[in-house]
Amino acid sequence: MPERIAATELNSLVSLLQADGYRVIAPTIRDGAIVYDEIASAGELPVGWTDDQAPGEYRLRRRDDSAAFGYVVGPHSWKQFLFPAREQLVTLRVRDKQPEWSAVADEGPAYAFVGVRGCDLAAIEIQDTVFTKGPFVDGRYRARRDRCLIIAVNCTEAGDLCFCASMGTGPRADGDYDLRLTEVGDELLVEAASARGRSLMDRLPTQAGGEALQVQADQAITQCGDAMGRSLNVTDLPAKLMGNLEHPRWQDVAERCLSCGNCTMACPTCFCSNITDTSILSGDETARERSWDSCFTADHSTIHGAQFRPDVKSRYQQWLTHKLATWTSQFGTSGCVGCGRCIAWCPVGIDITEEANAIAAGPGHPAPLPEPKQYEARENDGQVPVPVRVASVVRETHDTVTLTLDLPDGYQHGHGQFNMLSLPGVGDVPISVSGSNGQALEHTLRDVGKATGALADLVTGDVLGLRGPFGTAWPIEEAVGRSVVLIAGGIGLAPLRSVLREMIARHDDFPHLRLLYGTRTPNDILFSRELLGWIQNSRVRAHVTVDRGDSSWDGNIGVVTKLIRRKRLPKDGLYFLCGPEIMMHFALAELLADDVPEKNIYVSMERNMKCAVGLCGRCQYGPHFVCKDGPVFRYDQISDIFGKSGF
Amino acid sequence: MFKLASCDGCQLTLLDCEDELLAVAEAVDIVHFPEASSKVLPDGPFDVVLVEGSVSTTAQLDELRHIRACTRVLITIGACATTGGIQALRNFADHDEFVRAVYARPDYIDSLTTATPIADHVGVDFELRGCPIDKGQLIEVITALLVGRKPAIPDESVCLECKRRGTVCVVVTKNEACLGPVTHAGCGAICPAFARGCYGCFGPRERPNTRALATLLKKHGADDPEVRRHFRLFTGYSKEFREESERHE
Amino acid sequence: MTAPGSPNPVTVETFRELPTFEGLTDTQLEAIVGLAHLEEIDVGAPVLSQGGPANDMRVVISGKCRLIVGLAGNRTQHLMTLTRGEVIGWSALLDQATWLASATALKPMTVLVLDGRKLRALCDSDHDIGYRLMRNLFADVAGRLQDTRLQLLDMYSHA
Ligand SMILES: Cc1cc2nc3c(=O)[nH]c(=O)nc-3n(C[C@H](O)[C@H](O)[C@H](O)COP(=O)(O)OP(=O)(O)OC[C@H]3O[C@@H](n4cnc5c(N)ncnc54)[C@H](O)[C@@H]3O)c2cc1C
Ligand code: SF4
Ligand code: SF4
Ligand code: FES
Repeated sequence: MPERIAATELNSLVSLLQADGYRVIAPTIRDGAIVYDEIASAGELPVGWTDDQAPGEYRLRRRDDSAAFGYVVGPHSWKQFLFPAREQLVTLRVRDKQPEWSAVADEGPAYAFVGVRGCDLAAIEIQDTVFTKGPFVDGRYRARRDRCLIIAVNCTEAGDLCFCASMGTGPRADGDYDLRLTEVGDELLVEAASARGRSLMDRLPTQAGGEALQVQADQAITQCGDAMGRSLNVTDLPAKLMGNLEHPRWQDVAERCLSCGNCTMACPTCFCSNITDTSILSGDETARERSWDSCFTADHSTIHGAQFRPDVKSRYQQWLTHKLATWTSQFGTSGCVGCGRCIAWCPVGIDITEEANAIAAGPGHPAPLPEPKQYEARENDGQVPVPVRVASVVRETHDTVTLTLDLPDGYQHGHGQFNMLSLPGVGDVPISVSGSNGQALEHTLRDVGKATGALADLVTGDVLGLRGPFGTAWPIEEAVGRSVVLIAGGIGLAPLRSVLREMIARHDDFPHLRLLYGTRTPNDILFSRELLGWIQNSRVRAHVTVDRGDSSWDGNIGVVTKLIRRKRLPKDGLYFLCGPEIMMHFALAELLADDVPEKNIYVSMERNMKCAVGLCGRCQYGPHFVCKDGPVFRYDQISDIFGKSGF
Repeated sequence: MFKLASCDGCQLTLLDCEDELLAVAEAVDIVHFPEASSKVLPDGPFDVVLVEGSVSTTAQLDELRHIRACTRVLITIGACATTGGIQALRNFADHDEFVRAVYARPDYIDSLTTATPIADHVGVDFELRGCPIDKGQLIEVITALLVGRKPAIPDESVCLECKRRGTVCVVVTKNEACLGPVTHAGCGAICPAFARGCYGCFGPRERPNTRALATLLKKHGADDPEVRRHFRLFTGYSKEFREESERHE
Repeated sequence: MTAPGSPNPVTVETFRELPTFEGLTDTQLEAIVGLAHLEEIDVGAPVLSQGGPANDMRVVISGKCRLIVGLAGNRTQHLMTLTRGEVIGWSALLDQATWLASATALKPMTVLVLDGRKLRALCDSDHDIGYRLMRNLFADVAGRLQDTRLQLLDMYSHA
């Protein structure tokens, strides 16, 4: 039963929360805006204030009443408390040259959020899905979330930038709150939705007779819903946006957009993060820190040798299509709750509703996105490396080494999966498993940058950190009894070696095996001894070609695509491709021209990676995450975006 | 550590890293440091040289070439060394007139007509931005060099640092002129935290959309000379800021 | 190197499954049979030599050779290897006097040798044959150009 309470009694709520041990976070005025911060008493609420908002503009204004919640949302969102802008994940201590990683425990306070609007409640639920619905679970986030108490507020006055009604997230604050308030004149309607909420309500100086107030409250909420300052046409929006990636409006907005990233920081649902190791000069402790990141930075989409979103246009396209389109495919809801923050806090006032409405109305054919995947949630965020010893190092070529590591206890992997290898103070990078047996695990890596360079310098006996295995594997069981063709380019042979070994060993299951391998020069050939064995092995037909040969090389010269053209490959075979994207692009073109069905081709993709568990957002590839949905994809799952700029 | 035309502020940052400096002194052998000791210029070779200041005189140019020749890793630190600095303002003016206006006997002044970033003259291995440089970043660069890796200095906008620390945007609430959206992060967004716009000390970030920012400055009331002044401050001679300021001549 | 005295065993069957002659009818192929003979080439022997007269076009029937360009200062660049179905020496179809590259057998080879001048004349007089042949050769040249581009890209050093 709803009850009523005088607005002047709000402080008794704050006191009760404090007595229960909560840190009370609520709207309060600072630096010319209503921010979310800890308050000591209800006197710190912006009583009698409101906010005037326009694209790129925000001003406080006195109201002519003393409403406590007479404004909408400001520059802050609740995510800064649940998903802090900077946070340590793991610490590393080196004792006698032995590194030891441990998870940083979450010892934060229990927060009580007072004044959570419908849009923000929906935003919290969206981040709950991102961080806790698997496959990996961010334990720190979940602990903070479980501790926190939510006092929601229904909106009765819409802001000029609000469009929660379009997004179905407001103005009524529905969802996972403990207590809900609706301000009507100088009274508040109080509703409880949980045991914690009811316990608070029992102790508050409320009065019965909430029903009458409820009628007024409902009316005000309905009116508010009709008075939204903005609206977004969400009918079939994801497919319409994905079908209009060529719309000229993208270029138009790119000229106005500063690509500063303010929208992504202000957005209550954006979750991208960077993970860095903090430097130490002396001392024996290092920390791995996570900080808010944005898809508007270059680093977000850069890997060695490629930048997937080099210009403002492709970055804006990532932001908008992620919020309003691909998010539905990743997490089952829109990534936008209609709070309007990104419109207000964009210095040049770019309006997401205006851009999206214009682009979605374009002439492109709607391009539907895949249905959301369901994941099994594990009790683990996969961030803590285990120390493993280097058992041996083989220098394969001038820039490539194979590290054989002692197999960590209980470690099992699928062929094609990868591990994150880390070195203290340097960071960690994804490296595929290139082979394994009961005692050892092999990784073959090319020295291209800071982390791989440091890894390539390791010697027998050194200890490094390993986390994994992550990602999808090559579909071995599906291949049983069929012709299998592995097509590898450069370092791409490494993840295929592990599957090839397995298939050679299970000859009866894989009687028709072929390997086509292309690399730069004869000196760049990996696993040369083993490769020679495959070439001589009657169970596999292995062909090697190099881009540039010399007189000592009497094998094939030419690109790997030429081998595909030459070798008359089976149409009904299964194809596993791994190598630089450009090589896979041309290899695919040959296969598809030969009428090999898309669903018979598997490719291994590469994108920038930090967390490897689906939490940092870096490895996004349209509706997919390369770390958890890939790296091995069946080609028909990605054929609509493969090779397209901006993905 | 060498200095050309500069104020010594960046060197002082290194001195300011007291505790860390002890560790630095342990890890490296500092052979030349004008602010900290008066040892005369050694001959090299050097593993790492930090250079502060821009190239303003012919003598400096000669010294710079000498340093480069005997140095493995050359790092330029600060706005002067990386973009020409405040003294690069003269590049936009008639140099002789400047000299005549300031000095009684202008013929004693042997300065080049421009003050230019070091990378215009010799190869540079890493540029650390800032006016002055940031202590944390300097330590990161030095430690990275010690472990032999690329320093992790993000080339993102100042806005991201501003938002991470929860600062309320001064452009949106007060129409302040702020170069944050086009400026290289690294300072920790100090100015906006004190309710002022960013002056662009760290120079242009990766892919700055200076045109869009100029349009915004104008929307908030700036005329061409003002827009020009905003872009021509500590790092006004950097390519992107210079080109934008020239669009408002 | 070549086996001159041997009788010309070329028949319409020789052309089957060679992409260069795809789409030509048996009657059309018969017109070409007369311009062609087979040669056997030993390992290490030249298939053609840079600078030599570009008289005939060749198609690999079996075996493998590599294509090499000689550069100033005794340097050489190994361009590609060619196997069954691939054409060596399009130059013979152009008004060009000399070979621009050399080819050496890496495996024992059988090559189909076509008289360039006569083949050109045939194409001139029978445009149906000419069109077919040129179309097939164009596809081959386009593929090679594509491959060359990829080689220039140095794609394995990229992501
Ligand atoms: C699933 C997967 C499997 C891989 N398997 C192998 C392998 O078996 N052998 C091998 O040699 N390489 C592999 N790579 C590539 C390898 O991860 C990169 O070469 C490596 O991250 C480069 O890091 P760096 O610090 O040396 O280079 P820098 O250029 O200094 O990179 C800086 C940072 O950028 C990011 N980054 C750069 N390149 C990549 C990249 N290609 N992929 C993801 N993040 C990147 C990383 O976060 C890295 O810390 C794989 C990549 C992925 C995504
Ligand atoms: S995209 Fe914009 S309107 Fe939507 S939730 Fe994020 S900040 Fe709010
Ligand atoms: S990729 Fe998505 S979640 Fe990440 S910053 Fe961009 S819009 Fe936000
Ligand atoms: S989401 Fe972090 S690497 Fe994929």
